[in-house]
Amino acid sequence: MKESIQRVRILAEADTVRAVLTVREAAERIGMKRSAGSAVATAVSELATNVIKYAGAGRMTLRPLRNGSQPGLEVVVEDYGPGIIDVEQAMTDRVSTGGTLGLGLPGTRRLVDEFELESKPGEGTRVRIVKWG
Amino acid sequence: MSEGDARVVLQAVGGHIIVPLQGPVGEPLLDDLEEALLEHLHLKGARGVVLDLAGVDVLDQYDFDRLRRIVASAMLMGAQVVLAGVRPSVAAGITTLDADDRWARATRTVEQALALLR
Repeated sequence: MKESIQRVRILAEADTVRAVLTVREAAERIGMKRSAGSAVATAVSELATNVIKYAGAGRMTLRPLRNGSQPGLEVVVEDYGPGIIDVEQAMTDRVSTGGTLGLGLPGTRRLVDEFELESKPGEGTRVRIVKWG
Repeated sequence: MSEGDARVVLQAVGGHIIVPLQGPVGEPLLDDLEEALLEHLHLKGARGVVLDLAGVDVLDQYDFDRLRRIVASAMLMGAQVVLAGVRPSVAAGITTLDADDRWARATRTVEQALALLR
């Protein structure tokens, strides 16, 4: 079966659950390990929630990958929101846990194998992640 | 899955409440959990609450932080709260995301949680 690209629009809270389920199902279908599938699904949950909270609307694009015998997933989460003004700061871990939550981007990056973020103030944010396993 | 189908079931067991949660949790389910649990504590009370997370394998930091606030509310209403059955993926995800987990009391099984609450 040819694996195809899947897209999920992220317009409301319930869409984050839909995005997570789509990722979980794809990970299982292409034979990823449970732990890797859950990690990429958690990363997508985090990114999709950011879309709802900070941008209001966006979409997720999911593409299955294969490197030899190893399955992987590439996920792009993009929005048309206000963008991130200080990307460097957004990618820095907070010194202490607790208190107000950030965008969760440093943690999201730790969950995956590749993480790229592009953001233009006033135009939106695009995050591309890849998880193997 | 549609927007309106989030449902939380509360099981009353000897003065305690067990709440099994399923699937990707998300905001609508947590809204339901908060409303159903706090309303139950207000009307009927309970000494303890067990949040059974055995059916949850994806939980992001927003969900976990929301859970923290629901637990804090339940405690203000006089109930002890224990998490049970946290899966490896959730435990690893929460620590990888560096979410605040200092508030959480957890046991492996619901039975152990009930024993802790007794």
